Amino acid sequence: MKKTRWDKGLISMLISTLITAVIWVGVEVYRAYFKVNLPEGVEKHLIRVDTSLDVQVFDKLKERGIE
Amino acid sequence: MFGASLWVIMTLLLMIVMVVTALKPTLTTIADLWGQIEQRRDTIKKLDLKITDMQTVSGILSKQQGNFELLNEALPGGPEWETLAGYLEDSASNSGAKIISMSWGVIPVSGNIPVKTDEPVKNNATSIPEGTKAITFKIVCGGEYPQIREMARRIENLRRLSIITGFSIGRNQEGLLTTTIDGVAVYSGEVAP
Repeated sequence: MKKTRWDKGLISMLISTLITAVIWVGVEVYRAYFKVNLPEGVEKHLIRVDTSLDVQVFDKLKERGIE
Repeated sequence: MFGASLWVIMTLLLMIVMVVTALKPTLTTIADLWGQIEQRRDTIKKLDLKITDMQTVSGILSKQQGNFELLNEALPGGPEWETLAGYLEDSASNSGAKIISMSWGVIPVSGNIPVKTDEPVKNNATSIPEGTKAITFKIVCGGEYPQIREMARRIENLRRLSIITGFSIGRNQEGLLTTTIDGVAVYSGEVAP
């Protein structure tokens, strides 16, 4: 009887350890997937450029004289 | 009973060892590579968008290149007071008015680089565009009323960004109608040293 109880305790501990290990692996996988791997300085080159230009300003300036 | 438990214990131990030593590094590496692939895909998409933007900007630039000189005339890098003085003289002569005197704020005596032209505009009511600098000017001119009015109109419509801060009309001792025009001429201050 004593041996059986000892077995049960050991099995419970092993199952807990296995669950912990699985959770740990899951967290590590999650971290590895979302880790930023881009080289330094790349991020600033990805910012989009504003392509709008108010060309009406040129027309207004043309209307104004230089004398 | 004990034999069966031993097998369970051995199996669990093996599973733990396998998870830690085999499964974890494999899955981590796969996730890492997968993440890198996704990030690079995203980077390529963003770069493509940026290239498209740059092509659009390049098209606009080549179309409007001839017009950028207008911006330099309107808002030059330096004070360029001598050019403005020429414009003001032309405005006066074309309107028939006669310039009696013309004075300027702090301007460089020689050389092309403005050194101490950052004098604050004295008239607090005048607000110049943010990040720009200005020099002050004052013109006293004489003539008939329509000529003076025409000159003021021409100054107000100058392409060079300038603001009239004060305007007064009076008669001098000889009975000539004179006007004093105070103003500021704005420049960007982005002259290369």
